[in-house]
Amino acid sequence: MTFSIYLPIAGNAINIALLVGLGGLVGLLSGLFGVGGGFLLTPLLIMIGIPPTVAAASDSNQIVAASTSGCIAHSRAGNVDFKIGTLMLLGGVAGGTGGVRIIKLLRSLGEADFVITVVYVVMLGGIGSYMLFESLTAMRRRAPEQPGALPAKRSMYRRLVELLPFSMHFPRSKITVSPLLPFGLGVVVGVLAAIMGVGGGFIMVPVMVYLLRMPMHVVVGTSLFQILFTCINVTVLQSYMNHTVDFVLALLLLAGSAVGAQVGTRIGKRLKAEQLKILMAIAVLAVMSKMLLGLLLEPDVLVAYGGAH
Amino acid sequence: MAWPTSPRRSSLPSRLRDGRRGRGALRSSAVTLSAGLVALVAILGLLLGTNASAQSDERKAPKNGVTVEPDRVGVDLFYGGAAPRVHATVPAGNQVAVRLMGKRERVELKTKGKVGGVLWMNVGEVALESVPTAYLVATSAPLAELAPEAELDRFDVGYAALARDAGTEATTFGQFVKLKQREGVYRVDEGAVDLQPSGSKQATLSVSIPLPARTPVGDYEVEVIGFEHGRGHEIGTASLRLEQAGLVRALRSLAVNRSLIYGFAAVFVAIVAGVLTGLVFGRRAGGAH
Repeated sequence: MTFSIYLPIAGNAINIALLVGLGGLVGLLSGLFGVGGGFLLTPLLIMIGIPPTVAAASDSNQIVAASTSGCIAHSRAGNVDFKIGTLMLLGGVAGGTGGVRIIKLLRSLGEADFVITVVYVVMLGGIGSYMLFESLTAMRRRAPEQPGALPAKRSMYRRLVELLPFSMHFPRSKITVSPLLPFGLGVVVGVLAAIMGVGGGFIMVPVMVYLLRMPMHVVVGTSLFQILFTCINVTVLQSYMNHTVDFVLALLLLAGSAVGAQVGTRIGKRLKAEQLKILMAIAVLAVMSKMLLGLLLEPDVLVAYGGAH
Repeated sequence: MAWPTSPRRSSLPSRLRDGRRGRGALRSSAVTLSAGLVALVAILGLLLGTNASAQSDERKAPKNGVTVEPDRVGVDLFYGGAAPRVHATVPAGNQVAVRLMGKRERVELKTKGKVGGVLWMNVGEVALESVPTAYLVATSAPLAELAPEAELDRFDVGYAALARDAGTEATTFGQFVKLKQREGVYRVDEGAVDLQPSGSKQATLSVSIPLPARTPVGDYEVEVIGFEHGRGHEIGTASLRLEQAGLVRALRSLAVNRSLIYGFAAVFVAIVAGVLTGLVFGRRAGGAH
């Protein structure tokens, strides 16, 4: 099919089937791993001729549909912890606002972009390798089917966490911690997401798995719940301040991604927590490799649009 | 509203008119004359028709001898680029350059370079002072054979001429041209123009200039420049307007003038789409369980 449509804000004509297909692929990842998928879709959209600012903004509009769709599917299966999700979301908003200030300060100091990118690549590499290694050993040990629940080692971290006040029980995640912990972690993720310029799903998911010790399936659903609100916020702000949301583009992408998210959720349900973690680890490592390659290979064109911040 | 194929379409009315005239002639002669005469008249009619259409084309052409067809292109939801055709009459023996150029603007660019000896990253920002939004040139001969570089510069023919107004060093400008060429909005087709002799003193040209879908909307100037013995002279100019139409215009104006409503509407539609998909799949899943 070579039927193309003109996108009013992007100002270019693109094949319809290509857009719906890309949406479907990203929706699949979103339903499976609880990530927004912006890390993958935005560069792909730029590659097929959408201006970068329009690609990023319209992508967030599309994620609203995918995460709504995925969130419904996950909450039906009891996989969304609204209590923790809301706490982390509040922390994320606070952290995100602070993060934008921090990035401005860093940029004024000079080679901030370089440091940030290196930190990000190292962090993704570290998280991905750890997840992969940990899940593989867990599977080899044939641990009892306790999704995500690791043998409780009384580590330094654990003891510190237990010192926090106002202990609260979260039945969905089957954990009892101080609400300060998810809020605080939300702040950290918010700061990181703002600095890295990505939605933060790939930081959020490992944080919930390893630092909050939430079951893997609940992590995916809860992450989608937070991404939904983050992306609503971004879509409205981008439309209002920059006029960069292309509604026609978003509509075609979301047609694919809303369905993709359902399929992803379905596949996720059939997988065991450890299998899901291994796939997630591979995805994290793939993202890292892609970033690393982008940094190591000489670009075709040595200039790009956009100057002043 | 005009379409990529509209050069053909705009010549349609004259052809229709000829057809009608031919049929009229056919009917009147059928009453009085034999079948053989009818055929003759019909052929005559056709001949007269072609003649008339050639005349009407000539009448349409303005004094300066350059026309662009269509001169207005509507950009709506199913627009996929256009290919306006430029017609001109030039003195015999001239070589020509046909140049379609958008308005000039300041462009800010990030430059990429190696950091720490290994990583390719954005390392700086440069501004190009005055570069056109689109620059599509077709010539009848290689640039070097048209005129010396200084003369080409005088008529803004060739990338070297643009570099002069960009106010940046050559490598950056070269990379910028590469970026624009990728998008299809900068192009120099050497030798793409065919000159057809028309009489002993004149030649005509008719060349189609493909505009990719991503060419920004706005006004474009089409100029035909003649070159004789390495000296250039302006043959004439015409203008082309690319404008939003229909749903594209409506959506774009909503996005700019009612941006908050647009943003909320975009979120609302996305949520509804997500909920609907969730419900549809949920019901199906419920049936399967």
